[in-house]
Amino acid sequence: MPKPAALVRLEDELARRPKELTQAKAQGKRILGYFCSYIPEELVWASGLIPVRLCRRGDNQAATIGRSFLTTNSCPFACSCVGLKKQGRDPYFKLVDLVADAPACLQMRRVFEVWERYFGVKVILLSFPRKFYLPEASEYFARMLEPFTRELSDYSRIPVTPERLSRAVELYNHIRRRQQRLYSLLREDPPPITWRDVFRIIHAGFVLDREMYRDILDELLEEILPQPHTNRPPQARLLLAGSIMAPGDEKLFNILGELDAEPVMDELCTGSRGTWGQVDAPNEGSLARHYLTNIPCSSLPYPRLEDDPRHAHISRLIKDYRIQGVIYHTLHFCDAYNFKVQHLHNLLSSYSIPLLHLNSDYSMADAGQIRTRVEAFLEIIQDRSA
Amino acid sequence: MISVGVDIGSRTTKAVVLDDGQNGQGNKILGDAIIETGINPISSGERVLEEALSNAGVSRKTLGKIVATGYGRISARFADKTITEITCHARGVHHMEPSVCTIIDIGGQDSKVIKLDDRGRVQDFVMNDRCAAGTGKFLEVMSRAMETVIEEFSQLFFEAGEPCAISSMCTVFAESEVISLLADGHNRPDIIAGLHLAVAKRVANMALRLGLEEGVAFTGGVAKNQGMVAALEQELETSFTPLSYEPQLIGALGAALLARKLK
Repeated sequence: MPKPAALVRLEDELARRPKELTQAKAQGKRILGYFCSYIPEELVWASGLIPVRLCRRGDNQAATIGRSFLTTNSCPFACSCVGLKKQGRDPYFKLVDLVADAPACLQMRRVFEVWERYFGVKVILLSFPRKFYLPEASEYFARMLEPFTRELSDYSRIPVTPERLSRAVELYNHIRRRQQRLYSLLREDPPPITWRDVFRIIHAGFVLDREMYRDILDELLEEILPQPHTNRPPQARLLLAGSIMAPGDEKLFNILGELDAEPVMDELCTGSRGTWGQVDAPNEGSLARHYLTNIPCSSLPYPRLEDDPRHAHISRLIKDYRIQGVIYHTLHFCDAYNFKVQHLHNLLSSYSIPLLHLNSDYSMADAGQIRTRVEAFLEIIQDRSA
Repeated sequence: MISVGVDIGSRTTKAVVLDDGQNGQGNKILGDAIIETGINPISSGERVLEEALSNAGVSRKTLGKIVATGYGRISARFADKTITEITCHARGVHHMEPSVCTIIDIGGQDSKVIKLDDRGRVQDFVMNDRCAAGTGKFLEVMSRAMETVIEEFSQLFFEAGEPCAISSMCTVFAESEVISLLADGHNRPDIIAGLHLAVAKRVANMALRLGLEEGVAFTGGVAKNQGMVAALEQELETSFTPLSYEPQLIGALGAALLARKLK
């Protein structure tokens, strides 16, 4: 199937983006970087700052540098984020004027501390409720969004007016609706677009101008929806879940590719997670509710195992996407996602869905091992469906 | 039809030649071979195939399908198909002893626990992480550190009075721990038993994570080590189901059995 024109345009825009941001900066625009999907981007956009989600390919060399600032037992993504800043080669890491942190993940909190202390980067900290599931948490978070917004506006010198906020909420709701639509297409067999493409499209939204991104999403859907679905059906319907997977993290996908396999769906904070739900009104209360009641990141302590909302969500995805197996990929020392994997494993076993847990990092030392595991996992799925 | 399974492991390469009779009713092992893998897994695969065929008295011309398994499987150009050692061990063990529900496989560079369903299919598995902890390699390095050959090393397990506690599972750290124990005056059998138990504990942990079901078989090269068999039985609080075939060849046997089914 030829590549949709809108996807080609998306790639062109991505290639152009670093230069475009450099020019915007020269014209006095300011760029705000962030890592975590709990930052309400609507407020950043409404304050006139250019939001960039600093989710870049985990790099083993950068991680080695980062480890000297953090600890040898720190998550490789966190280490990589420090190393990439120190190296100063990644255009986005280089261009950001300030960063915002919603400390859900405490390992990532250290990254901000290092950036502030050693690289002199201004950090805006958004207070974050640990008991996120309580109704009071949304009230608290809504109140905390006020000083956060004030700090953004102080920096950009553009006040977040009701009109600006309303436009921002509308824009992001629109983007989320389109992204959800793309993900819903992956339920079809064969789908009109591959999961890998959808994943890349989500990632483009981390850096591109958001209004242009919205338009490209519209174009893309108009283009692919009427097309006949000629993609090959996948050999196994896999769901990918677990620790953060940044744009350009190819290790697992290369191994899967060698085995002619690919996920059909994800439950990742850099994938489908941010696309669910809508902000129902342009105010802090609605924003707070939206972000806190979405599928929670595992770094937030949900105290009970039995009704963990993320596990329930994964179970739903398994049903909706007719998943045959879950690949649960975690990063070394990412205790947030390693901690509950056994429980999820047991839960899925109870309805005969196999789970493969891969605990890895950005080095290639274990690539052969991982390949054997994935291959054996695919053999299990084949044997079951035979 | 005659089929062959070749298991190219990190330390040894194995082959089994199987004849399933005129109409696929029987299963007769015609011959097998075990050689060291060395530094060239491609030529080891070729060599072991020739050796097993010659032991079986079969010419290459009359051969049916070949399945390759083990870490070197990808380099086996003579194979009609490659299948992972996890599936092959399951197949081999189930063929020999259908009552087995859990397989402990310890090879040269990794250890695995495989859980089977009632039809002998792999239900779930765990593998050790990338380092040598809990593998045959660990035992080999330790045996050298204790200045024994592996056969003697294995037997000394049974002469221990009070096995030492070895806490390091890193091969390098464990070696320094052994040196400290020697310096403290501990005797060799006690240290050696401690090393066996350390590996057994690690493998037992993996097995517990998966949930150990009765009917446990021990396969892989390390299963020939009687000390390790005893240490694992102690840690797992079970006795292994005996297999009526060399445990080191079970993976190759499984590969040969799976080769029969290829079209």
